[in-house]
Amino acid sequence: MLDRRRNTSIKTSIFAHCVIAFLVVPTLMVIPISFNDNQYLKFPPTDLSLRWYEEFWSNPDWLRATWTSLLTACTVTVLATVLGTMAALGLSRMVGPGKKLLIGLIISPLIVPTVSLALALYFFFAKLHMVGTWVAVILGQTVLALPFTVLNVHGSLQSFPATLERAASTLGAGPVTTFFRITMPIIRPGIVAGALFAFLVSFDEFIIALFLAGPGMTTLPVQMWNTMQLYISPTIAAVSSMITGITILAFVLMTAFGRRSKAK
Amino acid sequence: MKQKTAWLIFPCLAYLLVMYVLPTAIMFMAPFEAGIAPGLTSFGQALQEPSYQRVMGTTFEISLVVTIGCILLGYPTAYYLSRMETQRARIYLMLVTFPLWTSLLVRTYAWIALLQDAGIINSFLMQSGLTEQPVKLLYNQVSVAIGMVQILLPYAIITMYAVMVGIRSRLVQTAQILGASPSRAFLHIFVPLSLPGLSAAALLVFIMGLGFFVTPALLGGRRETMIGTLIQQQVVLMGDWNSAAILSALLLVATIVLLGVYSRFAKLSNLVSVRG
Repeated sequence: MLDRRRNTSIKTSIFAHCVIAFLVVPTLMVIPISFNDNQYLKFPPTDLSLRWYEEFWSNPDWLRATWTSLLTACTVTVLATVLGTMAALGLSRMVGPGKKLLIGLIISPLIVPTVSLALALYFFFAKLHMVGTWVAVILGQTVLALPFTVLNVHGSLQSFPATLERAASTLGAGPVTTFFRITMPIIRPGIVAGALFAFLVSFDEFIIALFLAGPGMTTLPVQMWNTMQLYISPTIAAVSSMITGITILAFVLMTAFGRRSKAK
Repeated sequence: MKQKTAWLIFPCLAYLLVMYVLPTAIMFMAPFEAGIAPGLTSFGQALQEPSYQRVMGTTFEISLVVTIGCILLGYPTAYYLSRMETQRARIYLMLVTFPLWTSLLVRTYAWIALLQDAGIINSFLMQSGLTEQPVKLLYNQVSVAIGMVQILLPYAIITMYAVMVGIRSRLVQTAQILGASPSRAFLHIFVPLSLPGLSAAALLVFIMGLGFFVTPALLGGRRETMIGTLIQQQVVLMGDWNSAAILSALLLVATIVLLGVYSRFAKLSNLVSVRG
């Protein structure tokens, strides 16, 4: 009987590993493709070259798009982290159905189709004559980044006893001192994780940027989309490899942070 | 202390009301304001328009196929992960969520590179002599489904895992000690207990699938146009903002209704742990 049970679990194990490979491997394929000399995405690459990376770094359109994306993502991160941390602190002191409703509202942009949100924002900013401005893109993307900052900070507050804050205030610390000396160090991992997510969300966000950005403010995903509409250039593989590399780095950093907060 | 800090929620709440709730309301009102066909008639007309009906049908069909695919691939995987030691499962779960971290356009591009006529899979098939001509893998429903399953599968796995991890192996073992065969014990004990996770995952994937835009636009052909793609086309190619608003409102209503059903048996906040 034991044997049979182990048998099924070996089959399940193989199946599960294949599924995980399906999730991870195809994306990583862009890396070998990007070093390909041939412009037809041959695999395995016949000749290795860095020409697609050179093309990226020597093309002002790509560079400008990268710069725009970085700037946008940083601004969104700051906005979402400040608003989200405050909201999480507020939420953590609440109980009851109101809290559930608020969390529902904050999370819902993740499930509501982004096309609908982008279109709604277009109508809204059109009334304000702000379509095509950088501000509109940032304000819109922040809606998508907020769920991550709020819930990450909220999560790190769950294990945080309110008595600590009370103790600090009993001992004479004002609310601001209490926040920076007591609360902040404890929830820092949540804030960092939330900020990192906010950055990734904005850096990768495409639909809002496509609808709201003006011609001079093409973000990296929009530039990729525009290029892909024309032809499947291997330059995109080079861009993709660099983005994936940075993402993996962020991923590793996050895990390191997560570990450290767990160790504490 | 308790009430004192609750005000901190207000900036965020105000932000969402102005940047999310209000714009959505404006979008819903747009077809009424335009005055081409008064208000609700325009929604009725949209529902009867054959080309829209076809797109809605396609959207529904693709979402359904993707949902089935995610459950078939995700259920055994979630089961496997849920029977692991927590430490190892953590690492595996990180791999499962890896796609959610990588750029959507990058992943879509990777599929194009893999599936196209001169792509990796076809060159492998042709070099190994399995086929003479490249197999058409791209710009059809199969490629759209593959791309969407890869994006939505992590959500399905995490949702099911969250439920399965709470089911004790002891229960299944007890049934076996009492004489049930392993498969019978699994089917009669484990599967019923995991059903809430399965239905939550299915509904979630279906809802999220309805609103897809990038994947069908890049991996599909014209016949794989989904509502999301149509909305974008109405805006960018036709400049027809009113039709886009009507379609978007319909999509939003469908999403909200299904979300209401979903929230009856699953916690929405589970979603964020997917990425977190």
